[in-house]
Amino acid sequence: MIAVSEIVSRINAALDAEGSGRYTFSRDFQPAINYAIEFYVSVFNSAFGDNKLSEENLRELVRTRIWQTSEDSRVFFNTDDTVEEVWSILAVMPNPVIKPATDPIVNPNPDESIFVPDVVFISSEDSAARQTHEEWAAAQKNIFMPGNLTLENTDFQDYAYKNFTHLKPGEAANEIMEEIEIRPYLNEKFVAVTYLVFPTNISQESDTVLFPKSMKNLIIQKALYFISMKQGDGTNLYSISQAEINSLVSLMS
Amino acid sequence: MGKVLRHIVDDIAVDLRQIFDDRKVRESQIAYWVIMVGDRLKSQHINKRSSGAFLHTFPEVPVQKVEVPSDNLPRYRYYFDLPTCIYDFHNDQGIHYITYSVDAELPNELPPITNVKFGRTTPARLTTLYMNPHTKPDVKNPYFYRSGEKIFLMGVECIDIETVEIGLFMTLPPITEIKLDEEFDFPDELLFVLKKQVLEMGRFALMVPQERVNDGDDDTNAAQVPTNKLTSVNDPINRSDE
Repeated sequence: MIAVSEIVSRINAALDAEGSGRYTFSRDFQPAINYAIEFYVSVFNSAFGDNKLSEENLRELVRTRIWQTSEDSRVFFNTDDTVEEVWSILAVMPNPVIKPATDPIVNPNPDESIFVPDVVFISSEDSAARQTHEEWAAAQKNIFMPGNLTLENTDFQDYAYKNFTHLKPGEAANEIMEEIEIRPYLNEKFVAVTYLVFPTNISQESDTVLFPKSMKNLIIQKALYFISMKQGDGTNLYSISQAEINSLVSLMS
Repeated sequence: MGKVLRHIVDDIAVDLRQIFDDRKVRESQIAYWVIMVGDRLKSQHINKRSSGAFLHTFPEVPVQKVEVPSDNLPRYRYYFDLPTCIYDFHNDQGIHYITYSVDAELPNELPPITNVKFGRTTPARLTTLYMNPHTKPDVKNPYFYRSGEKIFLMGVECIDIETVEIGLFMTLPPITEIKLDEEFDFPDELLFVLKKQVLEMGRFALMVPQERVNDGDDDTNAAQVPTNKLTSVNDPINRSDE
């Protein structure tokens, strides 16, 4: 995590504006830092797609939580449950060992999964592979693809999950819950999901940015870039910060 | 316990670097390759050596009598289903022996295996056998023939047989049945050859370029498509003494 106050003082130093009052937190630094956070979320999305990023780079954002699947072997992601918004799934681990050991819960609404907040993930021997919607259908009868339903030899049971989708028509746009589906079917059983949460935007100088400390320079440079755009004066700040960002992003990904 | 299939599969998976969640080659596929190659090597090994190392005996295989004839089941014939898959060696030598016990007729308490052994024949030769009194199938000189996964017993129609003892050279279990953590029934000295040949198969699978995959990505150079032969036609793998 990076303290916002530290970023602000470094930006002030770069602008040679210490104590000047030329820049204020709410008008300049807050939107600039939030802009930088959102920019790197987009950059990392691309890096995830290319399998170029290890989760260690974003360890502050990694969570592992337990759900009980719905009767259709699906897990629903509801921000009311997880508190933080799910950004990207890193691992889906069926049949986890949890602590304290708990039996599946009687689900009054078996169409939906249950978030189980009171248990801790210990371990799992299984890991589900991520599949696209096209692969999902093709893999169903192929015994050499994860998520197939035809190879009944339990020694080779190989799980897969279908990436986020929304399968319940009729919900209002702001009520839509993304869901994943797991195969071979895990109906109303526990599953551990390791995921990244979206780094939240900052609102005060006492906040922290949920990116690793190694990214401090990237955030500062991008915030400076944003400030230079606002100034619109075509100073060296624009070109220098852009060059630094390019080199650092290429190093990260 | 000696070697188990899991050790072989894991070893090959590590060598092929297929140990991450989105790996292209799954454990089941490596096991399938191991079974494919393993069966060929093991059958060659058994053919070359007169050894009981891979002989499996089934002391009491139930025998049935056909009362209602149907396709492949002639009336009143005794038969039994092979309890497992066997190698299809020349002259049905995948079946090492079949015996049945006639304890009442033996002067001493001899073990069943010393009782009556079935000779091997084919349905086409049976007619000739019946024409000669010295070869005619009977209870002391019975024959068997194989038809698919069924073994028919000739010459014992007039007595009641409930079970037979058989010795078989079994294939490795199919992917639908094999267990990762049970003893892998394969000659130790051929493990190196098995691994080498499975790695060759895996290497080829991993060389198939992304362009052959429907992922919307079109940045692979077509010139990178592998065209080299992985194994020479003169490689010992492609020779057979059979």
